[in-house]
Amino acid sequence: MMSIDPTKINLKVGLEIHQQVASSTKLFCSCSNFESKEFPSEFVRKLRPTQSELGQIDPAALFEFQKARTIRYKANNESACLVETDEEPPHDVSSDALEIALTISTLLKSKILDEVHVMRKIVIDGSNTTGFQRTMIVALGGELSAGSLKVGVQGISLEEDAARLLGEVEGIREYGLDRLCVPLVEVALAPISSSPKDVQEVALALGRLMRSTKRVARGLGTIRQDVNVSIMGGKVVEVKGVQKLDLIGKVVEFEAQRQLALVKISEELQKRGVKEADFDVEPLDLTEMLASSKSTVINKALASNGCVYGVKLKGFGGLLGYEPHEGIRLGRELADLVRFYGLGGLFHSDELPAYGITEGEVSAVKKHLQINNNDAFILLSGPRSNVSVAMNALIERAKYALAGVPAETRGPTPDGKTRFIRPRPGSARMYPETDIPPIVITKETLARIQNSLPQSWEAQIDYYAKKYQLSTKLAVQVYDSDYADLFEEITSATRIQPSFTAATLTETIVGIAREGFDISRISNEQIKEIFIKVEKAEFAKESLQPILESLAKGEVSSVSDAVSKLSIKGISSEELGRIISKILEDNSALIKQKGEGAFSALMGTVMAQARGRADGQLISKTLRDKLKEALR
Amino acid sequence: MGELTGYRGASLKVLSQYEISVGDLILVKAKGTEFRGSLLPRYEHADDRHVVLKLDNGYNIGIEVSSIESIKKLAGGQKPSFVAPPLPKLDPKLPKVSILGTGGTIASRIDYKTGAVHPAFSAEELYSVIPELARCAQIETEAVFNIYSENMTPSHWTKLADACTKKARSADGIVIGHGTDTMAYTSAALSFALQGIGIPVVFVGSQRSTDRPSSDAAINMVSAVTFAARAPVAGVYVAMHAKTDDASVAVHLGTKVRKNHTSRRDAFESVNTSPVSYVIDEKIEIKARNLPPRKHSILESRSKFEEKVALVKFYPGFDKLLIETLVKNGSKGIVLEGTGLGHVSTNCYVAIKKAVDDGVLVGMTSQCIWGRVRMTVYSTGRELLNLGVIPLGGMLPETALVKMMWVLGNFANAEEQKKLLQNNLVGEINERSPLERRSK
Repeated sequence: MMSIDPTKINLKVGLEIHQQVASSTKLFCSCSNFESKEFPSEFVRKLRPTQSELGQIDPAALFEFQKARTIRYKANNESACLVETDEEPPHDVSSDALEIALTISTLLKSKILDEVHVMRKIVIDGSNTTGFQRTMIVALGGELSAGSLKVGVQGISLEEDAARLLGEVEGIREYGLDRLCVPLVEVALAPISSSPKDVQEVALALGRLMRSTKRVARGLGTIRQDVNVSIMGGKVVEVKGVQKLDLIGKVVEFEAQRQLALVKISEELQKRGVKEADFDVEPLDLTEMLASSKSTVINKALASNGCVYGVKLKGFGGLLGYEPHEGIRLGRELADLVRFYGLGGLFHSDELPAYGITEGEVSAVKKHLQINNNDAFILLSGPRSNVSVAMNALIERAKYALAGVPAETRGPTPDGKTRFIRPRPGSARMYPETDIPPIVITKETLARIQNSLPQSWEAQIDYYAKKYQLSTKLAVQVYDSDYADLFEEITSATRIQPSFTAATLTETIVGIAREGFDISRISNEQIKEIFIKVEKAEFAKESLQPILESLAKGEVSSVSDAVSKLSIKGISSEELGRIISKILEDNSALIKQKGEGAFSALMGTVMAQARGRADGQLISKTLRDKLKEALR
Repeated sequence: MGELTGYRGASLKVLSQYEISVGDLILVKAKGTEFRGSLLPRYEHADDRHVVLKLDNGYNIGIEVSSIESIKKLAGGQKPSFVAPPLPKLDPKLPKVSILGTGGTIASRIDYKTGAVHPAFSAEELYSVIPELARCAQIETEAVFNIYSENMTPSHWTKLADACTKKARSADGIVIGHGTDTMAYTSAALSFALQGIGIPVVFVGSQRSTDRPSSDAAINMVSAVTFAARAPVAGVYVAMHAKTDDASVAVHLGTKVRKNHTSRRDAFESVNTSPVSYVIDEKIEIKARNLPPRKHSILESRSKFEEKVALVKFYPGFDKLLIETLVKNGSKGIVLEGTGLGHVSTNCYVAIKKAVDDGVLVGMTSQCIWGRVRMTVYSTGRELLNLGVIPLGGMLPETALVKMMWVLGNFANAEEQKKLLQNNLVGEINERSPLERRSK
C-alpha cells in the first residue's frame, strides 16, 4: 500500500470519541445500563419534523423522515422505563455520570463550565423515541498528550446514547430501547495533520485516558469513533461509528486515497471543459423504450408499475468506470447514493451493454439522450417517487464531481474502507431541554473531583505489572484488552501463574480471532470455567487452546462438550508413568543406540499419547527420570 | 421591550454595563478563556449569577457573572425569518369544523436560535404544520381564551359553552383544544351545558408538547377533526391516544373520562364503560350503541355553574370540621368521595345532618374510581342514606362535582335538583357495569 504524506495533501483528521460511561444508572432515569436479550413489549410511533424542518426543505432530511415514518420500538422492563418510551419527562441528570464526565474533563485539562445546559438535538431517523438526543457540553478546550504529539481538545459533552437498531421488518425500522439513554462522554479533538498511524495513536491514548478512570464501559460497541477527514481544503467527510481502534488508521488512509481519487476525476472533468451549466439536464423517461428489455432489474421495476429514467452526464465518458485507486470509482459512489433513496442501484454507460441490456438498447438510449463520444449516461429504475428524488440527488452529486469531494456522512466497512450512508445533515438543530433546569457546577463538586482523580494510565500499568509480575508489554496488552476485569477475577480465583493467564487472554485469544474464528462465541464465564478446571487438574494447560478454538468455531457450546468432543481427560502421574514405561520398553533398541540422545524422539511419541492430558513439564520430567533409570 | 428577558440582579447589571441585549453575538472573557456566542434570555426562576450563551455549535452554556473580565459585542441580533411552506389545496366540499382554543399549544414551531416555541394556531398555520387536516375538513379557528388548564374555572366553562352554541349554528363539528390536566372536568361541564346539541363537540389535547417530533398532538388533532367532521353522532367527547402507540385514538364520552396517568399518551381512560369510538388512520369505528345522532337543532344551552360546590375526599382521621366549615361558608353542594361502596366515618354524621338540614345538596361517590356506590349493603351506608346523602351510582367524582354545579346553577327547585342529580342525563350514570375493567 502506498503511504500518504499528510502535509503534502493537507490531510486534516478530527476525531470525536464517544465512550459509554459505567455509571450506576442511565443518564436521565434509574434504569440500569445493560443489554437486554429479549424484548417482551413493543410499540409503534411516528416522528414528525417540527415546523422549522418543514420550513426549510432539505430533500435528504425529508426523505429520511418519510422512510422512518413508522418506527417499532422494543423494550424490556429491566432496561427501559417510561423515560425511554418517551412517556415520562426525564429525571435529573445522573450525578454519577456527570462526575465521570467532569473527571475526564479534568484529566484533559479542559475548562469545566460554570453552568451546564441540557439541550435537545433534533434526530428524526427514529433512533430516539423523543425525536431528539439530549446532550450537554460540560467543558471546553484542553489538551491530550499522545506520546510526543499534543492534540487540542475542542469540547467535552455528556449525552445519551441512541436506541439500538435491531433491523428492518417489512420496511419498518426496529429499535431496542436498552441502549437508549445510556450515558456517553463525547470528546471532540481539534483536527490534526498527521499520518494515519499517528491518528490511531491519538485515539488509543484518549481511550486509555478514559479507561484510567475505571468508570467507563468496556467491550465492543462501548466506544465509537467518528473520524472527520478532509484534504487540500476540500469538504469534510464524516465517517461515523468506527468501533475498532485498529480500523482508524485504515479508514483515514482509505478516505485520503478516495478523496485524492475524486480530486483526480475533478481535474479531468475540468480539463474536458465540463461546466456547472452542463448539469441543467432533464432526465428522460425511457420506460417505453426499455419495456421489452431482458434486464431482470428493469423487468422487476416495470412489473410493479415502476419506471426507467435516463440522464446524460456531459463529459463523463469513461470516468464512471475509471478506477484512479483500487476499489474507488465514481460509478460506485453514485450507486451508493441512489441506494440511500431506496433503489437497488444504477446502470452507467461505462459498464453497458451487460446485465441483460443489449447493444441495441444502449444505442437507442444513446440516441435518445444525445450522447456523444465524451459523454456518459445513467439509468435508474424503480418506483416513480424514488426514481424522481434519487435522480435529482444523483445529478447534484455528479455536479459535485466537478468540484471534487462532497461533504457527506460515510460508514466504515469491516476492512477499513468507507461507504456512503447519507448526505451530511444541515447545521445541528438544538434547543433547550426545558424539562431539566440548568446545572450549576459548584466549587465543592470541582474540589471533590480534583481530590479523587485516578492515577495516570502509565502509573496504573506499573502497579499492575508489579502486582501480577507481568512484563510491561503483557501488562499493557491485558490492561488495554476487554478482558482486564476477567483477568483479575481469574487471578484471584486460581493459583495459575498470572503471566500465563494474561498471555492466554491476549495472545492466544487474539491468535484464534486472527485465524478468522468468532471469539464472541466464547463467554467470559466459559473462559473462567476453563481456568478453574485447569486449576483442579481436570485437564492440562495445553488443552486450553483447543477448547477455546472449539468454542470459537461453534463446534461446541459448552466447556464440558468441548472436553468430551476433544476426548480430553486428565491422567494421573501413575498412569503417565505407566505409559512412559511402556514406550521405553517398546523403544529399547533406540535407547541402546542413542542413549540420552533418544530423549527428543521419545518425547514426541509420549506427547502423541499424553498431550493435553497431563502438564507438559511433568511429562518431560517423568520421561527424563525414567530414561535415566533405563540407562543405568 | 424586554431586551434582557429573565436577567436580574448581578447578571442584569453586568449586561447593562456592556450595553448587550438578548440576541447579540458577543465575546465573553472569563477565567482566562474566551467564549463566543449569542446572548440568550434567562429562564424564569433561574439564579441571577449566570449569563447564558448559545455557542456556534448550537449548545447553550452558562458563564458565572463574577468571573467575567470583559464582554465585547461583535454583532447585533438577527431576527429569525420564517417562510411558511405552501398551503395544501383545500376542498370546498369538505365538512366545516370549528377549532376553539382555550390555551396551551395545539401546534407550534421552534426558533432554534433562541429556543423559543411559537404557537401555531391560525387555520393557515395549522394546515401548514399538520397538512393532513386539509383532507379532513375545512377548518376555522378561534381563541376563546388563553389560560393554563389548571387555571380554568366554572365561569370559563360558561364562556366556552356559549361559544359552542354560537358555532353550532354553522359548523358540522367543533374541536376544542384543551390542556389535559382539567380537560375531563370541562368535557363533563359542556356535556351538561350543551344537552341536545346536534353535532359532535370533541375535546383534544396532547401529553407530549408540540415542539417535539414525538408529540402526540398531530395524530390526536387529525383524529378529533375527523370525528368532528364525519362521525354520525352528536354530543361531547374527548379524543386522545388509545395506547402508547401512534396508531389509534380513542374517543371517550365527555362525562365518563378521566386522566389516569400523569404523563402517558394514553392517560385518558373511560371509567365504568368503554371508549365509544376509535379513529385509526382517519377512519372512524363507532363501538357504542345508542349515541345521539346528528340532527338540526337550535340549541338553548343552560351554561350556568354554581361555584359554591366542593369535592371532599374522605380519609382515615378525616376532620369533620372541613364539612362544617364548608357549610358555614355558604356551600350549596358537597360531593363526598367516600371509601368503598360509599362510606365515611360515623364521626361525620352530625356535620352531614347539619348540612342537609341547611339545604346543602350532599352526594356520594367512591374514591375507588372504578365501580358504583351501593349504600344499602352496610349499616354505614344505610345510615348515610337516612341522613339525606344522595347516592350517585357509578358517576365519576369529578363528573358528579360538575353535574352538581350545573344542577344548582340552572334549577332552583330542591326536589328537581335532587331528581336531576340522580337521573342519567348524558350518559354520566352507567346503568350497567362492564365485565372488563379496561377495554383497550
